[in-house]
Amino acid sequence: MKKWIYTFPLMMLLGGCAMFEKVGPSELIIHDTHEEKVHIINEKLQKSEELYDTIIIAGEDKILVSYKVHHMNRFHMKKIEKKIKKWTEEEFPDQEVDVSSDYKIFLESYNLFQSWEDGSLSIEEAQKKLDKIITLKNDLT
Amino acid sequence: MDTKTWFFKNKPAIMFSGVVGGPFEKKSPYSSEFDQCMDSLWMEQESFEKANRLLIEEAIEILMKKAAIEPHEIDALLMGDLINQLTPTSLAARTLSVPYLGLFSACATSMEGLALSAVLVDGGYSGKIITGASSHNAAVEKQFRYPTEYGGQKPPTAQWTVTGAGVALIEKYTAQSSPYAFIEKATIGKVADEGMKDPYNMGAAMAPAAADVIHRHLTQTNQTPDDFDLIVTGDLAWIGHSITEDLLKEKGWTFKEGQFLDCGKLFYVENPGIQAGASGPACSAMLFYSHFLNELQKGSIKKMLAVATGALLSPLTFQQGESIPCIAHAVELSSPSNYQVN
Amino acid sequence: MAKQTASEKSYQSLVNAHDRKRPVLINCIKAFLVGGCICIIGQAVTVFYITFFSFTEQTAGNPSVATMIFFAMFLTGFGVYDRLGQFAGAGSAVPVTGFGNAVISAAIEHKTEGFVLGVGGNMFKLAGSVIIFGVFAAFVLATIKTLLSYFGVVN
Repeated sequence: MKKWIYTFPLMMLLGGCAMFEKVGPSELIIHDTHEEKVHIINEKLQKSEELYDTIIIAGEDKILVSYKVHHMNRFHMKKIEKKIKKWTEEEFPDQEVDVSSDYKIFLESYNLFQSWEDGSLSIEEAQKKLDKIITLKNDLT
Repeated sequence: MDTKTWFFKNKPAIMFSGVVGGPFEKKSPYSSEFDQCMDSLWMEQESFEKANRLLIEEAIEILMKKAAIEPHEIDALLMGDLINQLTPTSLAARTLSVPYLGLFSACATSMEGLALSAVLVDGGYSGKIITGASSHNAAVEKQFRYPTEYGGQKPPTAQWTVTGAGVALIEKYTAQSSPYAFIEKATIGKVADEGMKDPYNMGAAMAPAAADVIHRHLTQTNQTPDDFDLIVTGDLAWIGHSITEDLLKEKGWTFKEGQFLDCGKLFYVENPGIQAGASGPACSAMLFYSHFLNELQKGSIKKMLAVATGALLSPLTFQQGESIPCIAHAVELSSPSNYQVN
Repeated sequence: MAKQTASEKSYQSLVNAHDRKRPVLINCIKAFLVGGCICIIGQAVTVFYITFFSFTEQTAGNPSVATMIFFAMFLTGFGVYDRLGQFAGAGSAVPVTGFGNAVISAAIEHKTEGFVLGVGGNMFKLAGSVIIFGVFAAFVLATIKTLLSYFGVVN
């Protein structure tokens, strides 16, 4: 019983580390028209120290940016999101850019990214999946 | 001097006893001297209150079997417990169908009953009286504190209510009978209240009442602690008992090592689960009517002062910020071996 | 409240001399560890819902809380939670499992008085005040915020 008390949190801690492993910056372009913008966003995100692991997905009319925040900066998550949102609005006034730090959005984006890389997705399918992720993001209530 | 001690002249005596405990009481070092220990807190009853009633019925049944008497031979039943308006005891009395007086002095009920029984027997009003007290841990927790399964943390001053019942048969001594102990004198306590408000520190609240009744008993009977083999309090537990000892020292009474004991301390010895000690009407009733009676009969204790202490609070009064009024009753018991020598 | 009399005061100091203090530091450490463990389990449940169901970090909160209360129900019913509570104190009382335990223990306790007057009537006798004052505090804060934004102090 006593031993269990100590081993349990340790196990969780190690398990937690494996779960949030770093995947590195990735970009995915479904529609070539946004390629330039995606590169600009990626460059900008790489410069900010609070973030690691960013995924940028460009669809037909939307761009989805999801990222992870370094643990110590999690208290400022709202501020960071606001900052990025503001920057994208100023940079691309006519482009709809969705920004999310939600782990679920990141996870889904990453899955989409991987299956895109595998080449197992057609453009339509990828677009559909992206729309689904964006709906999920906007349901956050 | 104010209220006088009662001196009994016609030798009322404790003839038999019946003691039943719950499952946790098996861990008591005195459990071998209990007549029976139940296996579960529910005791196959629908509620803890019914289980409390069962404890009383079982204890009385054991007592009647030992004494070989029928309910109709009993002249009176003087008992009490802690649950709402003494319902477990009253329901047990309904089963038994004997003349019944319900008593309430909280944890001091055992000695209140013993003193009153001795008066009735000594005065010739009753022949055979059964007296005792009972409590049920879970039923008491439910009424006075939180639900049993509630995960609140109890402070180290809290006490553990004993599950069990202890009853005794009081009768006038005759040459044919072989009593466990004689009831010599009794002093009825006054309600003492030093403004203690913490229901999780009953020992400290009850200590002044215990000290007062011991002091009065000693002065009114012109005795000193040296006249007694043992002075045993009911359920003051670790904190209350040491406070009482200090209070009595202030009044000039000192005790030898191992002479001043407490049932609340003895009951489970030191068990981390019970915090400051045992409590409840059954705590004193069970130990007085098992271990100490056996010792008195054997003669290893010649004379003892049994003091049961009770905190007369209700869940209502302490929520309304009332301090805890407390009482203690003292009964002087002596061993039958004293008389055989004479 | 009536003032303490002189004898009460001197008695109080005698009591204090014999008192057993709560081991505050040890209790805090225990509460921290056990409370932390409960939160780790809660976090694991949240991650489980995020990974395997279509819940986001925000929406996974509700099912996670429900699951944790479900665990607390089992632990309460099997008589484990009160022991955990005695050991951990605030560690097991403050997380939502403690709230669940307060409701469930009262419901179990009063089952003997029937479902309507017993379980229904007493279920919230411990947790009820948490709900009442929680709702009241939320109302007060919302009112203050509404007034402030009305007068343009905050937006």
